[in-house]
Amino acid sequence: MKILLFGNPNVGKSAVFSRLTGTQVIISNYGGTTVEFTKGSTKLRNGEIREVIDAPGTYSLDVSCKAEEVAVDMLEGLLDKEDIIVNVVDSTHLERNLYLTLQLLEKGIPMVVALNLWDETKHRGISIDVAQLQNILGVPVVPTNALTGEGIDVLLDRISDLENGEISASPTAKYREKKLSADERWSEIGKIIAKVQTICQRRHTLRERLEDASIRPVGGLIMAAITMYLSFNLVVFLGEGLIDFILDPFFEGVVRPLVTQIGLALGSQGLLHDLLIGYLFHGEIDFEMSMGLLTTGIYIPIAMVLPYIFAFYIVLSTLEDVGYLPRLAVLVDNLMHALGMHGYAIIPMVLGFGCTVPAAMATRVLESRREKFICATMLSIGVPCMSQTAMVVGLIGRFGWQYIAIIYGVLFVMWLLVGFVLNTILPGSSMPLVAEIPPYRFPHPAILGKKVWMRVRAFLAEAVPYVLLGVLFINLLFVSGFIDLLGEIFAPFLSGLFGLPPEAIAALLMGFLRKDVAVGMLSPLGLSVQQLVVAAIVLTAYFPCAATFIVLLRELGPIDMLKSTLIMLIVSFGAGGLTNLVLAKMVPAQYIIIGILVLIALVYSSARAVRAMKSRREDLTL
Amino acid sequence: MKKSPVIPLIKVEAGEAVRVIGVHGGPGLASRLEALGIRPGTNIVKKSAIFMGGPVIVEVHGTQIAIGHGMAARTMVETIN
Repeated sequence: MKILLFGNPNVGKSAVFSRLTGTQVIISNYGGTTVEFTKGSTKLRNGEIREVIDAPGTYSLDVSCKAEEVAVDMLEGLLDKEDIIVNVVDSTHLERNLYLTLQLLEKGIPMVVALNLWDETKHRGISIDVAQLQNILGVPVVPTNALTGEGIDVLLDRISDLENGEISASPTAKYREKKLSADERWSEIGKIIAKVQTICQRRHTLRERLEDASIRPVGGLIMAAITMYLSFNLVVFLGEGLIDFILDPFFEGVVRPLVTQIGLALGSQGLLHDLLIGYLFHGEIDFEMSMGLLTTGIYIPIAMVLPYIFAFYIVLSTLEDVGYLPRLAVLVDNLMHALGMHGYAIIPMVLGFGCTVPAAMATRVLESRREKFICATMLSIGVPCMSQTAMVVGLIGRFGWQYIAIIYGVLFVMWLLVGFVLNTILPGSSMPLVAEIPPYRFPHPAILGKKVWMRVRAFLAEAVPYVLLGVLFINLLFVSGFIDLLGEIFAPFLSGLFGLPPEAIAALLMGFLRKDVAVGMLSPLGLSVQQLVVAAIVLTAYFPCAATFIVLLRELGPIDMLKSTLIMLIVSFGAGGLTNLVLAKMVPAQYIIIGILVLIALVYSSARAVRAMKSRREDLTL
Repeated sequence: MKKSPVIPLIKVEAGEAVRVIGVHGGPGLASRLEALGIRPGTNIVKKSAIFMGGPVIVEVHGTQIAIGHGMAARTMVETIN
């Protein structure tokens, strides 16, 4: 016997799941956070264990988009007759939620309705007659507040009751095993609502005024600008603060004496010393450049990247829980359509500034293969993850913020160009945006803290092994002389195209595995700031890191991934080469800008000509 | 009583309450809106519209929903007096 959680998007299914099972899952205040099924288990009153499954949200059982198809397929495929559905319902939007409830009742499967977000009904002046609703539907109805855990015990009790046959497991005969039409369902819902729900009008609260402002054109743009500005500054402030006041003192005061001792014990030379401690600069360990497993291998992920990861996820998680991201999606819907996607595609992009792996998974909120392909390609090319950003800020920030601005400006132009060109040349068009805008909610500190911790832990679990593996691998390649060989082979390419020395090949090789270490490896090469800028751009865009590649391969399939990778290589080499030409003052920047505009015009007009030809051919055949 | 004219949702002023008459589009389009409660006979309030062909935001049964411009252009409504 299983327990399946079913309900509309953003009603708190994952919060109920996490309460029932004790499993930590990411929950946010917008639809589409859960894109996969999550399984866990819960203990019933009698001590028996039941499997619990959390499904992506769906508005109805009539499939109208990809995410819903997945949820509905699961219902059909997984459900046995003795299973129990917990229909999680947003009590503040009972009317809309009841549509799915009625459809589920029609299936005749034993069910408990959880009236979630119950505490919010009070603030909104909504009162629901639970006993009456239970009478009408014929299944147990339990008010819950999954964020605080209220009502979850009662929910579990009702599940046990259903299993033991202590209460009727079957919906009112009126709905059971019937197939109502959509109109019949809505009229039925109208009658139910009239009987169980009363709403009293209240004055507009400050929160509602802010909600309204954030979706108005001008107010929305101003709020978006303020939000982005504050977010960026907060991340930098927190990240730098953690590094300057906690991590650097810790590494200098505790780690340095320790690894120095280990180095001395190893005899300050030899293969093992070079692997563990790395190269000494003036007899001292340099955490950024020594490239030993115990020095740079630990320093990069813990002292340089982790503080920024932590800071970024505090800010991102707050924005998520407040419910800001769908509002951003509405504001940028226009722009995103020009790039072949609808506004919701901004959510994977924003996630991508943290880590591309969850961002690649979040591309599932997009309905079509075309949109997913464009989104994944743009994400890989133009959105640097926080591991990389932290390193770029750490290494290049000291030369001045204008260089960071050049890197991000070039990446942004690449991002726009790739989206625009793909949207113009790929057949098909973007899907329309239909998205629920959640109310602003005050983030729950405990839930927020848990989410930040989960994400930081995921970073540690994923990044540290890759970083250590990468450092080991590179050291072995150096020792074996393979890097020198590659450097010689690629020297004309590196210096001709990017103005980089042959040794930069090691960083580019590392970039396949981890971006942070790859950027870090540029530091001992003694590059000029112009060279660093070019290298950082190429490193971001030419290939996603290994972990992302694996996820994208699964999401896009091998053929599309191959196409996407080719685009990444061409675009990044092109952009790196052009940036080098401009920075080395070989070609004035305005020529490049004119060139890009000509390219856009060419692509656009030839795509239009092709479309016109096609439609003419279709007219002829008709 | 004079019958109010049927107009597309994009032509409605922000803040105005309207009744949905029908959705002119494929069955996929209509069913996506239907699942969110935007269906013939429902009263909705247009909250705002983002300029330059951006989405239209409507309130249906207390929920705010953003609808792409193209879809809003094909959602026909009449004003409620």
